[in-house]
Amino acid sequence: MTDTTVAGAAAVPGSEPPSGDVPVIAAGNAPAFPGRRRTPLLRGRGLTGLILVAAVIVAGVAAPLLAPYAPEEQIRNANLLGPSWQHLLGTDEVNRDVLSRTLYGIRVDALIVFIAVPAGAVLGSLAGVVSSQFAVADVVTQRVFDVLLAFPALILAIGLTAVTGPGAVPIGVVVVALELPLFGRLVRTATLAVRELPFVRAAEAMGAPRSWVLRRHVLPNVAEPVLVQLALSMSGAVFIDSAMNFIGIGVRPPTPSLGSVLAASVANLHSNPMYAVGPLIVIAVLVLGCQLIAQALTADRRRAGA
Amino acid sequence: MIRYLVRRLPSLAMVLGAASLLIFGVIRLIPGDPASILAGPDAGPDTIAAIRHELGLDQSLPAQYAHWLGGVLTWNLGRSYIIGGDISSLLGAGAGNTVLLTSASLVIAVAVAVIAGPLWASTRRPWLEHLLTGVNTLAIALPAFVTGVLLILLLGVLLPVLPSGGVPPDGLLADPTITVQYLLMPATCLALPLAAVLARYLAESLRTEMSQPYVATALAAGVSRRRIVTRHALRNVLPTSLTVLGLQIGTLLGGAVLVETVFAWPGLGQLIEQAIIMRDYPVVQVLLLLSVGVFVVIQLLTDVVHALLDPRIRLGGAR
Amino acid sequence: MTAVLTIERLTVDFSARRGTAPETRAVDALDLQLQAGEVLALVGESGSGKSVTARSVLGLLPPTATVSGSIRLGDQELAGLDDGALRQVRGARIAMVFQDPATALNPVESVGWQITEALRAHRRLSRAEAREKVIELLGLVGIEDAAARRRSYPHQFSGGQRQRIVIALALAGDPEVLIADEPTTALDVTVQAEILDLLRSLRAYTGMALLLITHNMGVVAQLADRVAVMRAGRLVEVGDVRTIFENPAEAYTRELITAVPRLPTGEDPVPAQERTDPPLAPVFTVHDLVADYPGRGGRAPQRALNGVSLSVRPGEVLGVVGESGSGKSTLGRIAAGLLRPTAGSAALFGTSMVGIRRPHLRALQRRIGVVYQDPATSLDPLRTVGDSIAEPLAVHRRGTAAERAARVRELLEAVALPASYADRLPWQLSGGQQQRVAFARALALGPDLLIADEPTSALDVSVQAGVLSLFRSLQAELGFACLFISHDLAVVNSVCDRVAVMHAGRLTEEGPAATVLRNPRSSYTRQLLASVPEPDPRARAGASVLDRQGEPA
Repeated sequence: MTDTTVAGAAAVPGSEPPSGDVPVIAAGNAPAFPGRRRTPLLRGRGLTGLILVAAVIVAGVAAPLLAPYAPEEQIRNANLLGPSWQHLLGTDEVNRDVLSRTLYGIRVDALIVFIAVPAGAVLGSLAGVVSSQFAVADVVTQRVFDVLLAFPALILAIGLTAVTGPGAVPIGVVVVALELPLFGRLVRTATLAVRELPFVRAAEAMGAPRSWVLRRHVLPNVAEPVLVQLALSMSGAVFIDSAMNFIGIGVRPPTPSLGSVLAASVANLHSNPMYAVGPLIVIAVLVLGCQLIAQALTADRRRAGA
Repeated sequence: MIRYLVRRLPSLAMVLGAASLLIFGVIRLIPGDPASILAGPDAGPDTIAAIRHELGLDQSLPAQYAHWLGGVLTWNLGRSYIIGGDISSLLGAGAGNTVLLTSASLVIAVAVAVIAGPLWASTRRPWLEHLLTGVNTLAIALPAFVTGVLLILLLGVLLPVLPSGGVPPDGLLADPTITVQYLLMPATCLALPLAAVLARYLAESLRTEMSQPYVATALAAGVSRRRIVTRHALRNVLPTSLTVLGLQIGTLLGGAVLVETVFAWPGLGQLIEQAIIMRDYPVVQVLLLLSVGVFVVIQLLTDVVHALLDPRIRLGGAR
Repeated sequence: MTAVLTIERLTVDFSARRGTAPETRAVDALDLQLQAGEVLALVGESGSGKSVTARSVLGLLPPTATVSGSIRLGDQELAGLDDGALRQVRGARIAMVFQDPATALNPVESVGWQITEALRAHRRLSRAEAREKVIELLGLVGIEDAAARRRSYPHQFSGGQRQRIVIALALAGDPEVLIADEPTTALDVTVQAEILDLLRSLRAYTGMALLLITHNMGVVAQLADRVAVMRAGRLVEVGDVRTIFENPAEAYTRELITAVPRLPTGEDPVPAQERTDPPLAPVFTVHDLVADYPGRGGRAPQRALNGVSLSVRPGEVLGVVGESGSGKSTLGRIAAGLLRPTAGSAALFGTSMVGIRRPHLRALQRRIGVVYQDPATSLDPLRTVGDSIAEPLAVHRRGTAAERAARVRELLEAVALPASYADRLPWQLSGGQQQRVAFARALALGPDLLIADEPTSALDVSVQAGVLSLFRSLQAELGFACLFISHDLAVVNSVCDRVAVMHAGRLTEEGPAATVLRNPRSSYTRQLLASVPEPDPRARAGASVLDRQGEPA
């Protein structure tokens, strides 16, 4: 969550505005052009990450096909069974199949990660663009971001759900509230940095209106760091979402979610050690996948920028 | 320097003020009579009347806010009607445990990061680099409660060598070795993501730093590579790393809630979780404000130390 | 004469990543000898391998480099030594000075501490001994009040002083060989003259051999005993400095030397009196112009221009010259409508720009074009070359898509690039080609005024020569007026009708180029001109202007 701020800040191109007019002479770095760049998501780390994330999504979408039982079905004589061929991950304290609950649990988490995060990203980016264009809006949004950022992520979640009560929608609201300042700050600094670049100055000098510069030069050039942040934020959202479910301020029972299955497992590990394994693996894979995608995008940026 | 501090103070006060307003206002947004909400569903009419009187709910909203904030500032926190008891003594009971847990994790995290970061940045052995990258990615990818559950599964259940939760029965100060046994798992678990983020930041910024021209200058003068990493470059990345650490304190505070829940560690994190589930709003309010206050003040402190460490800020007048 | 440093069949290959097969050859079977006590200049353009050669001597190449061949210091073989063994050589026997003094020193440590680190890398020294040695070294390179200044941090020194400190640091181990990699490139010309003086006197004082890596033929002519010319990793020729300049064996060397723009000398025929054109209304004029940059983060605004008056007449190229901080680029920003005057007046095509409304300003901006210094960032990396060139047409809604495409082809032809380049992305072009594209974009609407801010400063000399000659022919053909901003007096001399000299936000002198550059009135212009290292070894300054004025070097 906050680690995303760091990586995001580092991803901003040329954050120092060029100053002075000392001649810059490119000594000894002839343009050594690599071949045309391929998207970093179709090779190496990026591809691994993409496959991991896709696998989790497919498992969630196909839960009705894959799951041997209904998620809330209480099975007779199946209390806290260990793993067996009938129940690969065993059963829980109220006789439900853990594997089925895990598979269905993905759905809530995936919805939040893939809807709330992009929503927060879009809103935050908008706020960032607006604040980079108008001085008054800048002051207001920056102060609002200051206040939002003063709450540690999970503490903000607790505070918000104190009002709304638990549920999937509050988790979404929390995620959006967390992403808003991250993307706002990122887009604002990136926009200001791009605006100092000579090609933007050249456009301004030819009389291009602000909206033109923004649409044609600034936004496309800001898109890449935003994409990196999006991948990082998704992994952060898996954190928050499952943590909220874990401490009981997430979706209401009996609907399963990864965090709530995991939370319920803690007390029952002695009876069914496999109880925790399913959600553990899914959460780890999802977070890892997003992190790998972000790393691949960052590495690609660095290579292209060098 | 002092001017720098003075410039920061108004925005600090503003953030804290706005946060306290939010925290205060949020409870008022819950539909229904605040007094009965604060008292909880099981409270009798006389309790509700007492609360109404105690909080001055018959007064205007600004007056109520002033009343509440004044109470917080004078550590006059009022009563909890659901969990029960005086809020300040509830906090007092958990604070020691939480401070011990978070400071132990902070020490572990910083120690691990300071060793692993420079090693990661300076190693020219591919296998070590891959190993560190892998461990780091995993440590970042696993949320604190996931590692917590894993640790309990491994060291508490399958191979029971450490107590899988709780605090030493005779108190934290009775026997240090027992305290360490109880502390080891939760503190490691809380420290892990922080250490991973910090180590990664250190390694990446050290790597960037090692491509700076001044490093070439020092290398060409015969200074050893190791000394350049550990002395010249580290000194340069220290200020910004501190800022990162300050930001990560937020993760630590949030993580404490999870880790204390997983390990049944009776601290403030567990208290806030309990208060949320039981809808004990006065307790939630105070704890929210407390964590925001701690977080913001720590960030200010790291900023001040950052400024002290960087002569360009300390002496001003960077050309 | 004995060789202190002998390089034989040095080959350096780079791979894209560590552990993969080498892909590019940076240095190819290079043979070179550095004699005791001499100054050998290693010259070449970007990518010639001169810096790589220098770094390979001290083993300072990144791990992606593979080095083969032999590098001998006296009779010790350096190639293939590990880091620990090389450490005994670095600083103690061979030291190195790098290009940019702004970044060559550690920003968070005092300069005294940094020099002490260099001293202690090779000798055990007590605190007092180290202090004494630091003060001695700082004094040697001309830092005044060294005892107190050693405690200061790099940002508290000027650029020239910083480069002196970098040199002091290099001298700490008392080396036999000093390698200076573009030691004056990032410096203003007057500061460059001081550093050249310092290197000259240090060489006389210590007797060390100097391997000077530079692209600046003026610096070579002023300092070198012998010259080695490199191109694409290979040695083109090596010889005595007079021979290289006056009678080079290779065509490439001749090209390199003739590409260097020169200042007018007494031998040039004095051009006829200035064209007596009828007094036309100026395209751009400023009067008592004051311009401030707003202070950031509560700091006071910075004054960049302070009471400047000048004008650009139609069809004329006005050169604006000055060092960093002179305000010359700010003048360009005012002319382009990117910065509003704080006080005084500024008018473009007769319309005042003070308090002008956006639509009116846009109408004026339609008649100007701009070209900036850094070709790499002058073009949007995500847009094709054709898109970039057509941008002014699109902004001002000129023509249909087909007409724009035709105009792009026309413009590419005008800047001597193939029409097929319209579909390329900027990174697929070389720096010189990118700058030609920037010119094409600036000329798209047929401007009456071109604002060119250091348009050739980031280019190699031979590329610069090509771009300058393109500029001259375009200007002659199209007849636009131009505000040509540059730090390089010789470049200004080669393209400008009139010259304005700026210093610290003020106009120092203005007049016809030939007059100002030949018979300057102001002492600042004289100093500026005297500081330019003349690319002619015969005109080597026995003593520089500063020496003659009695200042210590």
